[in-house]
Amino acid sequence: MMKLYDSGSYFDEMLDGDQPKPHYCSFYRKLSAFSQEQLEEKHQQAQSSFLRQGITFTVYGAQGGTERTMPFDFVPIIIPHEQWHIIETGMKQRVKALNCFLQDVYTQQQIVIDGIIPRRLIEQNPYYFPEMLGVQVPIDNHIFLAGIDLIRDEHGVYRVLEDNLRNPSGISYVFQNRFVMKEIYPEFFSKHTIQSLEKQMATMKKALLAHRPPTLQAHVEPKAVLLTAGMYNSAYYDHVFLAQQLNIQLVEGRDLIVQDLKVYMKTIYGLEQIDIIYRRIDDDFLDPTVFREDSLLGVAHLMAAYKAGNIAILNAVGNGVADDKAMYAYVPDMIRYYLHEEPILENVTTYHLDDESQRAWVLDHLHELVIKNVSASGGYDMLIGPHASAEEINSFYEKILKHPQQYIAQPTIQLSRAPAYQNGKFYPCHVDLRVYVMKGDDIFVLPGGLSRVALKEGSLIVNSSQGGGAKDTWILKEELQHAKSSSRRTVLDGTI
Amino acid sequence: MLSRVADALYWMARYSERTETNAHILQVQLLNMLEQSGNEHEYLDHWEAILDICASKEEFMASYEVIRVNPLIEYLLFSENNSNALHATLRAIRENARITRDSIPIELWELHNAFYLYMQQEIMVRERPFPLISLHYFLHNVRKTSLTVTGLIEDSMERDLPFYFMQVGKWLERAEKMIRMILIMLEQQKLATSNLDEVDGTFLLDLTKATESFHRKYHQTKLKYVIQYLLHDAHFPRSVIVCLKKLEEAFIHIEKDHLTARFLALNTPLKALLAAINEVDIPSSSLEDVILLMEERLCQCIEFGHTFSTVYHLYEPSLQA
Repeated sequence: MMKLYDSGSYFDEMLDGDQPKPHYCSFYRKLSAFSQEQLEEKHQQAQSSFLRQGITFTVYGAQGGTERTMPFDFVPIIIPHEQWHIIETGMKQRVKALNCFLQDVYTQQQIVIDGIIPRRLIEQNPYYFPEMLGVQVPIDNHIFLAGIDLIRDEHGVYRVLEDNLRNPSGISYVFQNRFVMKEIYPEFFSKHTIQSLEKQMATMKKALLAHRPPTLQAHVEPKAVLLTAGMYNSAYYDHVFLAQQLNIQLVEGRDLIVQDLKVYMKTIYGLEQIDIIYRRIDDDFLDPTVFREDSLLGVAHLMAAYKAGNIAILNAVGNGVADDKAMYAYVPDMIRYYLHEEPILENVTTYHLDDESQRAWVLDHLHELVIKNVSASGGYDMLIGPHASAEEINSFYEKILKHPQQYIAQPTIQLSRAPAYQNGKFYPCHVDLRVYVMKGDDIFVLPGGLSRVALKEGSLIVNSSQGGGAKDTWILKEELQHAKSSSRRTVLDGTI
Repeated sequence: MLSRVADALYWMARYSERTETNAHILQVQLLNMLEQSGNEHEYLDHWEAILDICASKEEFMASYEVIRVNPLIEYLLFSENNSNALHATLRAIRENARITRDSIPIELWELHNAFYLYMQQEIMVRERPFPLISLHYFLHNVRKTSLTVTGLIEDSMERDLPFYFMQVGKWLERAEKMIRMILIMLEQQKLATSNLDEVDGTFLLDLTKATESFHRKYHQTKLKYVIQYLLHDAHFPRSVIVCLKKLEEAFIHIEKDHLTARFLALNTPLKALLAAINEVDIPSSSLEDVILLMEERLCQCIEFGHTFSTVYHLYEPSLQA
């Protein structure tokens, strides 16, 4: 048996000490059967498969962006059924509460009146759009697709790190990772029964089409499109993939036009009316007559058509008010307030820096905390105290004093790790998991999600723009946990 | 189908056709060059013709003072200043394929993408000038990929709007290019002679990939017969008549109803162009007359392209009611 490494004081997804955990045993056995050369060859095949398919994202830089593939790591994150069940239930609960909150924020603001959330946090939020007040969104749903980021701490407890309720990207990688895994590492699938991704897109399409705009006649099938910023956008592959899988047109802003408060797309046969826009551009760029005037990506007068009830926009406009890092701390309160339930998934402890006593304590402990800008994402404008230089700590000290409301602090969590195979060796890397939640008439959680891995040894940042990679995520099916291989089931390696 | 997507499909097909033809022409000339080096006059004439067919002589002369072979090859293959250089057309194909990824077979995108990556990673980084043998190898690869692409489209694409918009691009590009090649050959002769009877058409046959099929049917390679063949032959898949018939076919499929204004707006000028090509009688015309005729046909072709783009709203937003 090969030895990977010792998990030490970290929580490792796969190992206890230097031994595999029970749900990783058969994977581990298969792994031991490969030679270094075979692993290296497969590794190369996997990377070039992504490149050939053009599954790339754009890294912006001096030269106007270069194309890179997201590094793929073949050691999957395997999650036992019982554990997944908790995550799934917790996710549904969280998204349900967040949607209640958004619906409330843009109507009565009862949660503010009842003193649960400070009014300031809403009104001073750059993503709060008073234009949305009173707009009737289809099926009262603001969140068609959410990407909720989970981490595990040193005890293996799952905690929500971040909610992404605007345009969570990366869902195509979940499917592509599985595809490449099946194509290049088929051996690992035998002896496992895992939840398939095959039928998930049909569910997503159903959820999409449930968002009928208020003025659409009852028996008419709505016509949906996916609005992209175009092929130079970093998530363009995601957009292409979704449009293809959902079987809807992939459009750019210039393909659409609003006339008489209705939205049309420009086709070879003239204008054709559309009913649902799954947009993958930010609020700011949606409509140059309402938001940013310089936007070339959006559609003039789209908001007017939206307010008139002639078009559904998914995710709804103004969701950013619920997913920034300051509001994050209040999500457990939202769950208690709207659903009268205790949160199933815990948050990471968060300190608000506009509170004087919390701020004073945080400023004294910067070297052991993580500081985040509430409106930044992608790992930017962030301080990881234990890894920071004195200079960096000083700079954040100043920033916090200047704009205390702009920052939050969290304890450094010893993120869980999992083995990664790069450059011919296995080593432990920090991982997190983005779980995708779809909401139409019902709430549905994509089994698994995108496991992101910080491939730079010792790095904590998993974002693809900063050297992160991805792994396949396996949710084990229930029966395997309880039953030995049944006589009727044929497993992939041909044995019965 | 979105106008923008239709436009990208149309241009992807046009650039594919252009790339393949230009790669072939360059291959022919690189081989010819080996034997010609003694005969300065013909050698330069041929390169000049090729420059005019594959790009534009005026544009080239604006940046270079004289025609010399190595800079010219660089210009036709890789120069950023030449929008019709192979590197530029291959990039345009890939960009258009990327825009239309959800309308074309996945393998088609992958082929274009893989070839482009090969070019970027293995060709563009090499030291110049290229040895002749690597140039051949590269051009050979360009053409091999084109053939695979053609086969893939024929074999796996659904006969639906995207397919037929690509067909329009392909056949229109081919017809236009053929007429342009004929015209440039004729114009070059104008300086030497006024009598078409004296001129040989072997070079034009080579450039148009017609040598084999022509020799199977005819023995004399006089230019006037060659041109007649390239315009009228009903079986040679590059003749102008065949291209126009293919265009007709494509429109019959795009427009199911043949009484609509759209269909008529396209069918009428196409029929007129077909008739005009049929009427051309090379053997009994003078050189000047033939040049004039070819110039008119070329304009008709270009005009037809504009009509097509207007009818299907391929141009950037004009507000349509």
